[in-house]
Amino acid sequence: MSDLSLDLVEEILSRVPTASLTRLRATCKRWNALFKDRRFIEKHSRKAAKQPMAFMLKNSTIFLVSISPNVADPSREFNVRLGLKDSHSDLEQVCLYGGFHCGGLLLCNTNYDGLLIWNPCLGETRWIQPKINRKRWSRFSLGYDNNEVWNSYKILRSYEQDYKVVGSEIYEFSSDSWRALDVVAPDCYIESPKGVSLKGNTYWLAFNSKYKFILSFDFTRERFRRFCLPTFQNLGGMALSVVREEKLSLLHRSFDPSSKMDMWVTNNNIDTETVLWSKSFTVDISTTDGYFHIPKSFLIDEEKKVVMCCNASFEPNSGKTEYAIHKYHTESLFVETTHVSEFPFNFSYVPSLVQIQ
Amino acid sequence: MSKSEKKIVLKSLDNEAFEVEKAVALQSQTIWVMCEDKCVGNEIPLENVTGQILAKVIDYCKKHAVVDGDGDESSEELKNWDTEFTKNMDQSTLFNMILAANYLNIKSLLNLTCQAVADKTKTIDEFHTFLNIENNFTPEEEAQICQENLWAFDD
Repeated sequence: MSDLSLDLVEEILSRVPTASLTRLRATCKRWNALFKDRRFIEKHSRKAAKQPMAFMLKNSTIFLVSISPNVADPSREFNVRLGLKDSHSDLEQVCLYGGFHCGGLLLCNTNYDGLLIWNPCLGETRWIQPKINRKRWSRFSLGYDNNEVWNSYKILRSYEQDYKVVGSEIYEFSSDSWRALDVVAPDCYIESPKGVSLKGNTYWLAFNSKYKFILSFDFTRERFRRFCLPTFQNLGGMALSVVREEKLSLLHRSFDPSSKMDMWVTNNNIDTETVLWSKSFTVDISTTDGYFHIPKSFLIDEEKKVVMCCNASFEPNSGKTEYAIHKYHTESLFVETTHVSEFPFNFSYVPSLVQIQ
Repeated sequence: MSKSEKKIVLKSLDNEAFEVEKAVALQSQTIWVMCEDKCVGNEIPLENVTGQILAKVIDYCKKHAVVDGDGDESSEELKNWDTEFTKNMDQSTLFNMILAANYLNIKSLLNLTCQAVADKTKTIDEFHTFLNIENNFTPEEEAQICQENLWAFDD
């Protein structure tokens, strides 16, 4: 076939998902150059299909894992050479302690000072120094302003006193500076160890003396909001996750050893419409260790009805806490267990060409 | 407006003539500009499009036209129709449809056909053939880029 103009080639390539496009970049200099072309990246982020992946943080490293059954080795390492484009001296030694995903970027706590912002697809990194008052526990989350054509990223630092959020600060990538956030603190306790991010905003499970609810931070309007949970007869234990970057999912289990785990999902447009919850599927299998688990993090595959949970349990014989990743295959009534030495944490990630500003 | 004024004749590269409703043809910005220009009569020559491709473009425009307020297709139905429309097109037809949509300046058809190529083309070789590209990296350079992006190659 004859040549298409460069415009038309870009029109096609901007619709190719990030992973496939990355395979193509190794075969043509012109295509490789597109990965640095801001205009193309912006177009690609609007047009290409988003293909979420599952990431697992364990033993201070991030792995690419598979939620669904019948896929090769689930413990395959996500082999990104961190530090290629960074001046930090010992990046090979960086241990990751936390990962928070938003719009293709990860916000990580490490064994070094500062917050690491990382696009693992491009290998780009940036270190940000937070203003830290060490007496106060801080919680960091990454988000972006939906009004901007080009995602304008921000970091929210919420600090707590007696486990209650008492104040917040915002860091803007564009100005590289922190400012105090002048809004009323949400007056509640945040339960989720990490929030989850959906379409630029962050969501946590939270409670006050009367209710349990979802607390959200809207990065566009820079304010906190509350959303209701489904109505439960027995409040039980819960965890929060996202499904295909479209909606929130909630894992719920009553405090009753024989209870099942229910997976709930929201409607797709919770930013513009009222939140509606519907039950997606139920897991009615117990783990062989006989423990009653409420995961700290989990991911679901709605279609195949698989749930991957990161669990911890106290072992009375050894007096130690043991960590395991359980994969519940609802349809084949099977639980796959992988024991790990440190607390594992899983989250959804969507590869993106977005550059760190 | 008399009946004949509402119709327009499109003539392909290989001299095939198609009489269509003006509202159908005017989805093409290129034809719209030509009609505004008034230097063409009721017959518009389209020198870059063959009759075979033009027939398909007209099918698309007919489906997407709102004629006399008669656009009662639901968007869901239209979406399904679009999927079926490109589903069985071979690579060569898609290629020519992209060129035609671009020349005739029909944005939605260009989006649809480019998306179809992005969805249907799976292997690196297929992309190279479609876009007429040869690998211009040395094997060492290629290996280096693969090494830096193992996550995308590891499946």
